[in-house]
Amino acid sequence: MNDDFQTLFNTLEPITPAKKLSLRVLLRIRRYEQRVARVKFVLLSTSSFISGIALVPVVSYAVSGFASSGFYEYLSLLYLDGMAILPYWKEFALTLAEAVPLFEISLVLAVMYALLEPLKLAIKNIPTAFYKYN
Amino acid sequence: MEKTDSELIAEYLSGDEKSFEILMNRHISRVYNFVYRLVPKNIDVDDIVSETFFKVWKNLKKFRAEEKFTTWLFTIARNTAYDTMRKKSALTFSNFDTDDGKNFITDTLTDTEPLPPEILEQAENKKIVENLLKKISPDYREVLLLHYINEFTFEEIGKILNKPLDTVKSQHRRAIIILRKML
Repeated sequence: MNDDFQTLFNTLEPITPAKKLSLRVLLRIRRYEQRVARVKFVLLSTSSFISGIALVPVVSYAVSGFASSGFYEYLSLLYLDGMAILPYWKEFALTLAEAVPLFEISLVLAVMYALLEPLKLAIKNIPTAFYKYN
Repeated sequence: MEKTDSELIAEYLSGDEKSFEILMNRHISRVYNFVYRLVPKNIDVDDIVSETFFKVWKNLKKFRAEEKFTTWLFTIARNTAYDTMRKKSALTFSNFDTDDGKNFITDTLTDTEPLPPEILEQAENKKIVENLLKKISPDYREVLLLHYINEFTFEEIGKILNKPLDTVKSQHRRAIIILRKML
């Protein structure tokens, strides 16, 4: 019974889709990828730009942090009378390390990461986002 | 040796762009033929097929390797076709069904008789089968197309249509009874 129906359906002529149909699908996928890449580019660039702006006050805050910590003063001793410090270099190194404004440095590094990472991703999106499809 | 569908999907997901193209070119004709015979003439088949493969691409990460790709693909194709038909309000319903989708006459009939040879000979005229298919409701047509043309088992058809196995078998039985009456 089913074999008869199989024979019946085998008489149906297969219809060949237009060759451009698969190209049309691929083009649609590329255009979608392009739209997504453009949105990502705008968001990442904006994020990077905001981080760039934030970097200015953060750097000035870090500079003032260095100044108030006494780090520069300890460091200048090294240039002024390096030989006198030599016998006490371990104590001096410890004092110098303690004077490093870690919070300010961490803040600058974090903001720099927030600037460079989205920038890297935004640049990575440029070829897809701005490729011209015919 | 030809790569399996699952291998092509895995390769595409790991960055080989060409794999999706191979996968699509392998199945596009079957999907096209299925959709072409499922939807009415006023609906653009190219749009449905294009939408189907776009959805496949978009959801490729969600595809589970233990599933059969063609079952998943035809589920998407069928749902896309129905969505389009619904949007265009072109869905036609079988005259043989009651409101709750049952047909007590055809359900109780058995169908064991072979087709007369003259019908098979007559069917050599391809237009006849094509025209008969157009007259059957989409619910029955899709079962016939999936089973006889795309060679899916009833279990697989159940997955594609999201219907229990018994419902699929019953629809198949009703479909061939209707087809026989038309012949």
